[in-house]
Amino acid sequence: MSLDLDQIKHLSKLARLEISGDEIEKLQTDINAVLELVAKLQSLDLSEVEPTFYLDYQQGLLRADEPQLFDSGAIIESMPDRKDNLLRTPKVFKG
Amino acid sequence: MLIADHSIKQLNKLLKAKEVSVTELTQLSLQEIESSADLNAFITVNKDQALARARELDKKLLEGENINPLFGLPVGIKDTIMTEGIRTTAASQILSDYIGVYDATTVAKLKAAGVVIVGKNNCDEFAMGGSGEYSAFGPTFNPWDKERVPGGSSSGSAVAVAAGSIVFSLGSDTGGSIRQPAAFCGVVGLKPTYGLVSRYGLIAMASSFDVIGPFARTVEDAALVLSAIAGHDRHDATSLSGSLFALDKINPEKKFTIGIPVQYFSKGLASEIENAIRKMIDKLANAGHKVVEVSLPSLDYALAVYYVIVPAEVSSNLAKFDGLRYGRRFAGKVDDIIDYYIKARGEGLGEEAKRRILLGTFILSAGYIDKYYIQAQKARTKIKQDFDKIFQEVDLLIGPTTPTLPFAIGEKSNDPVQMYLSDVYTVAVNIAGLPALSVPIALSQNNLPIGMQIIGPALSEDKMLSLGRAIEALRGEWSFPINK
Repeated sequence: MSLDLDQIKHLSKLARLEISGDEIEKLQTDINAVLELVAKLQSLDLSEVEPTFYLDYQQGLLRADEPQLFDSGAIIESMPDRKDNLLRTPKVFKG
Repeated sequence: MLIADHSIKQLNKLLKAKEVSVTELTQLSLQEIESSADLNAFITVNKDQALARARELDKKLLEGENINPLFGLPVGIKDTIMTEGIRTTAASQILSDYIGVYDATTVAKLKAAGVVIVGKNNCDEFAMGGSGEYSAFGPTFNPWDKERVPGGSSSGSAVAVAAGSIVFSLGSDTGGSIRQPAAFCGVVGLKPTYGLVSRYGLIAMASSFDVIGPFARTVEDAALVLSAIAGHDRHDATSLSGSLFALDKINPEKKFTIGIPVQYFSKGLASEIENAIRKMIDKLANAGHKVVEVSLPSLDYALAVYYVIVPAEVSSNLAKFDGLRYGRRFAGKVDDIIDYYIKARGEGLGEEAKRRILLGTFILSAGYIDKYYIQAQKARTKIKQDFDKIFQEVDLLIGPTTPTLPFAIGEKSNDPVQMYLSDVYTVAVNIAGLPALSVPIALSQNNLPIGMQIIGPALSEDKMLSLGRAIEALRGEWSFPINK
């Protein structure tokens, strides 16, 4: 399995990540090399094996359902650009 | 006085006897940081806050407050770990002026124990890398040989401890990021069981692998730090409950059945490392430990599993860095908000972050998720089962921490697959969530450190540290490359 340049460009759009012209070929080479490194997984017969998404050595641990409020003041203060308590963003719609 | 000549317990005695003050210790640390500035181990030096804090702690000392073992010690924190009021960049452009708004639980616990945070340690961007070279703030250098890498990703945390500018530090380990730099810098690095130490406030890289742990100059020091940071935290949903680590269970005299995985001596292992490891294995056998050869066949595909699941988790975790909410804004011209995201991320994220985000986006995309991601999660089950089975027969496993000695700056930074191969002995531990420890055991002919890795079943930190102490005793005196 290897990815062509159009696929890399498509992925960069999906990932909201600008890739410059001189970066793209190097990224393609590198990503294809990693896909080659991980290719050995395809030859394993794991049809009977359950996946492990999470590691939990204590299952079903629940905490008391009590809300704890985070002091949002510091977070609002840390916004790089805001108006009052709201985050200011570039315009969302074109035009 | 040199910080590097003293263990935590010795410094504690000096502080209690008023032979040294917290302020003096902090000044000493700040001087050492300055004189070793060429190693680039710190992104931010917290000078004024640290000195103010030291004066406060000295008052407490005079008031005769009960002094716990970590009281007054100057420490470093990896820059992926949040510190309130101190810049926290994750070594990325995109967070280059971000000031932490709360303390990570580990940081809060260390502060409660009385430490002085003297700075934030350099690392690979978002903890992605095995050399310390992928930092937006420049590479970190190995104090044993400045032409060589210190390992990564927790490069500065390892270097600052080896160079004697701090007593201990915190790093994070997703696939070896504590153990590998510990081995390359000749210090002790401890990766705890997944869930033993809270990750609240750790800027997440791959959440089903990430853990926080200490770097120290001795196994005993690392154990003291672990005991201060371990424990349940309601802010981390994966945090384990109960008293799961007790210092008084560590016994360096205890004899163990130790497994030697054949897969850890495969081709690609440097002969100097192999010889040092085999020598130590003989010493352990002569000291009364039972040593047996074992096999974990699934280790052959651990690296493949790791480099599928990790980029997948990275692409998801790094999606929050939109250039809008944290740190600096993208200043160029944009058409609309989507264009803003694309350009801000393109400018703010480095090469390795981009590689992993694109790869992870591919791995999780429709049509490929079963083939790559689900298949890797199934293989992960096999690796976990292999470890479970082996730990029915042996108490602990040992082997090398790294396949090679510290490599030259620039040698692998343009070849990600070569870089990934340096994680070959460390990633399996994270895949299964197990604890592991790297202890320096010897120097190569060129005076470069060699680390031995001890791996235990989940929550066997006491056993692992007991054996670590025994290995230190068999190794003998160890000195650090101060002012080399």
